[in-house]
Amino acid sequence: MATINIAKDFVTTPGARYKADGTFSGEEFREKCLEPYFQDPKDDSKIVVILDGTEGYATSFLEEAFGGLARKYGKHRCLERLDFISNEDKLLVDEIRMYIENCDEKK
Amino acid sequence: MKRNRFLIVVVGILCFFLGILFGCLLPSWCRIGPFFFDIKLIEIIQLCVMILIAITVSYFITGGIGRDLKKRDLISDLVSRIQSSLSETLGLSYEYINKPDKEKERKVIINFKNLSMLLGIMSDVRKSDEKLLDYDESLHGDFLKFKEAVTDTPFGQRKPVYTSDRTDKVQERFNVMSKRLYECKLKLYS
Repeated sequence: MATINIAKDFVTTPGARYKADGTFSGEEFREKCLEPYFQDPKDDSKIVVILDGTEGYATSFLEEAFGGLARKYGKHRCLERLDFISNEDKLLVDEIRMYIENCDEKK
Repeated sequence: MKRNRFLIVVVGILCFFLGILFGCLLPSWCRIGPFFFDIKLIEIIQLCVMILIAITVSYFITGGIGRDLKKRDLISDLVSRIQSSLSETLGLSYEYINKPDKEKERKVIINFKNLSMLLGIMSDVRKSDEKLLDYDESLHGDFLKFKEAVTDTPFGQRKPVYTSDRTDKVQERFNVMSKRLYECKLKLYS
């Protein structure tokens, strides 16, 4: 089981959607922190994502990071493998799950 | 608040008289033997019993009502905090939309996090007492739509441009959420 602590492993001030928008974007987070765990199609181990400790997340960041991951590797695989911990903002987990489930609605 | 106190006092007085009536009816129900009242001291004891019953009955009833109203007032305060946080977030969002910079962007994100945390507390309160805080689950959906209208692309871009359609959407989604919060508050005392 792998653990990704966004505040420690990435940044405490997540940015916008694309790398072209600036630093610490959702795209950058997805490519650097999430996708390495999805390279092996047979790997079905759990990945725990700790969301606490940041200033907050823009919709564009979350949608691109998790919705983008679901578009690339499939929503069922993402929902099965990803577990979220958010003690500060309890609605955040539902928000991310919604972006994964509705990933097809975005480009 | 004043109306609540008035209600407690009125119910207290009513319960006090109900207690006296109940105490007076005790002998006629033959709960106490007729010889008991032959003693002269008995009127005093009877009076004491009546007062005790009245106080006990009014204490329990007004206590229950007071606790319930206090709970409602606390939840109403929470909804008020959410309303003021929502208005603050809208103000900051417009500041960012009109003149975007990194500082304003951070403030908007922090405010949305605070608002989300408050809604999380509200959700916990609802889970603990569903009858007291009866609101539609779509309140959280409305929040996410409002957040999306402000913080989805072009938010955070180097030079974000919000179209007039997009700013209309921000206002529209704020209005929907604001309306739902008022409904929540009204339901608390209905």
